[in-house]
Amino acid sequence: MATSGGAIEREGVRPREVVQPTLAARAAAVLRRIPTPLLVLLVIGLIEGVAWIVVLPPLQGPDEVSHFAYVQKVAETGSIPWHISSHEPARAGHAYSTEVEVAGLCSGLTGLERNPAARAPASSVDERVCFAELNRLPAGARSDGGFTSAFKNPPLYYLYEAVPYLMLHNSTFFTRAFAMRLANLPLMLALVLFTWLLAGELLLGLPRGPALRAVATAAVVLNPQLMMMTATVNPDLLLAMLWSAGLWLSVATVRHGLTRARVGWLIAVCVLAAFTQGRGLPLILPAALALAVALWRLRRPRRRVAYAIIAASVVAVLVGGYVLLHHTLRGEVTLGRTEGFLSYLWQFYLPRLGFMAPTIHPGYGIRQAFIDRFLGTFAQLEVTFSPAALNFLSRAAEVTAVAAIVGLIVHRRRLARVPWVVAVLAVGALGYLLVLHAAAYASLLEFSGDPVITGRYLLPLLALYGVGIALAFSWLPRALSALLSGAAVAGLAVLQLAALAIVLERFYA
Amino acid sequence: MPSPRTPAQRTAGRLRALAGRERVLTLAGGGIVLVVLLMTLVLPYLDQQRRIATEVSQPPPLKSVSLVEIPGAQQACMDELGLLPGRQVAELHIGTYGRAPSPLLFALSGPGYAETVPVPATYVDNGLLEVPFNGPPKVLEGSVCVTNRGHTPVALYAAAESSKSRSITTVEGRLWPSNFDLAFYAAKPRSLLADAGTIMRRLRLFHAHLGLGLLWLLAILFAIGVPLGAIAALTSADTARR
Repeated sequence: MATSGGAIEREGVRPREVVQPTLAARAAAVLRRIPTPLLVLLVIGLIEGVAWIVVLPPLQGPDEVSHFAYVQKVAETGSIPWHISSHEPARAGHAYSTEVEVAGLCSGLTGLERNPAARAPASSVDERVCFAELNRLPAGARSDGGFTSAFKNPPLYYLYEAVPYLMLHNSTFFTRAFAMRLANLPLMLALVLFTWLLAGELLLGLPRGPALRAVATAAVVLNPQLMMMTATVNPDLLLAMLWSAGLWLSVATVRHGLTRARVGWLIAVCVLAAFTQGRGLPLILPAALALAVALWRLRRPRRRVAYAIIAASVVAVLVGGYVLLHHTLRGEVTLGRTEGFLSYLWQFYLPRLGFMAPTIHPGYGIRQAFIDRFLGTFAQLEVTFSPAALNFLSRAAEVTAVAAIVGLIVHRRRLARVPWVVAVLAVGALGYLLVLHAAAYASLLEFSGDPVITGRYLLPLLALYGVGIALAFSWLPRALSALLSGAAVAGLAVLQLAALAIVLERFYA
Repeated sequence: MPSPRTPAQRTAGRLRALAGRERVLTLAGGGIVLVVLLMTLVLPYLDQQRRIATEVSQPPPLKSVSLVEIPGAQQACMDELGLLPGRQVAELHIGTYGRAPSPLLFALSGPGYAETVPVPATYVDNGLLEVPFNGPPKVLEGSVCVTNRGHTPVALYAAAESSKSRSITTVEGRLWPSNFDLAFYAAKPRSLLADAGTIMRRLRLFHAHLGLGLLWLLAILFAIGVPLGAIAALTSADTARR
């Protein structure tokens, strides 16, 4: 041992029992490899996420009770109640299990939903009465729930959440609900990490690149909508994380070429997104484009094959577009209805032109969805910033958007060198928004009330939102860029504080 | 005598100086905005005196209003309420069917505690009725009764839909399908900052595993650590290499 060990040591390698690091040492080594700004931002995300989880009362996130019911059904019955049809089953029964109904009633959480006059439980009496009632429930009270609208979602997120649910199966309803929210933290942190990676791909080549990457990631980690969804049992967070991963992998594939790992992960992320929510399907568009571009570069096909591929792609896009339009117009693809949809699309973003009929849902457009709902509406839509604050946010967003566009123009030569990166991101963002609008229009045609597109639905594009904010500072003189980006991040931090403050007031004051 | 610096060393020195200057500017921009917004918006908001609901036993309904009708000389009671200590004001919504109001008796009771407050017939039809009371010495499970001491009926606005609480309402001992709206407010306006201790205790309800110390630590980390950390992340990125 001594001889061979000495020989090994002379070669610079120590014996196995000496080099084997402890778990703590390995963790420390991993932490040391994380860049300081990212590490700080991840810690910030963790603090914010836990704070929101504690402050937002159970079941008060958007549709949270429905998603909780899905997880409970999976965990308690061992079945997957995924209901692909858009119609409810004939014998749906009670939506929620007896346990959910009783817990919601005895704690006052059911009465709290969407009711601004109600408050979260206030005394130990609520606890005592409620635990006594829950303890009296018969066997089967957790598994007798019927159908909720969440059952139309694919099961991936619910299978994930079933793990903490089952780990704490013997705990109270409230502890299980709390643990399920805590299980969202790794998803949120992963989203922050993928934003960092995507921003690195897109911004590091610019002046002050590392700082811009930190700005992009900070904008994401300070977004109050993201933190509220971290505090909610709801698949939208997993979907947003997968979109961020998918966009980063797509850009990396275009920029650095195909590797087995990249292809494998990109396909896996697309599959996972599709099994998380229907809104995961459009991720296939940027991923497919990225793979096609990388493959094309690797093995440029002969001219005939190239023409055939291009023709097939055009046909696929046309067929896909028709299928989407068919769904959007609820099976009646007529010129009039198509005009109505295009007019709705236009009026969502821009003022109505003289020849246009009023949109199907007047008063709900980019301002309401992208500012009021995305930046300023929480819980079950009943907690909002004041109109003055929303107006200020709107002006700030407009200035930032214009500055980001100027950034794109200033950096046009750099962009021209990476046209496929631009194309992949554009296809991803526009494809996602188009699918959202298609679903919204189809819903409006049927119910004429629900505009569908709400703040949390924009989270899949959150990484691009961060990059956009960073771009706004990318073309300024370095000193001014440093000054203003610091100011912007401080403003976003105050937005985060203010959002939790109004949630705190709504439920506890 | 020091050796002359190479061009590479000079470039590195200039870059360090530039990064240092940007770091200072980032810190200045972030610090100024943070201080200004905290002092002009966040702190005044948290310190603003407001009416604090100590307990909302039965919130008003979201969609359809129900009534708990109390004929003359009869009593309506609601049970399983949390009664909190300290001077408070009970708030109910009352109607008199367009007639003159009747005098009422508002009574709170729980184990070892009973308090009655006469309500003169001075309230308005379809208005809010505010009844100040002293409250029990400690948190109790109890009930609230409203007795109509007049001859004409009154009706308390109530909820029978999804916002109906766990409580049971009876009128003269008979079950009533809706619960009357009932909220308790602190007797004097308070700020969120002044009420922070109470809010912390409320956050622990149903989550006994959350220690009070942990919650305070989280609050401090959130309120101070998040904004300072965000700016620190940015300044550290200013000196970071690619």
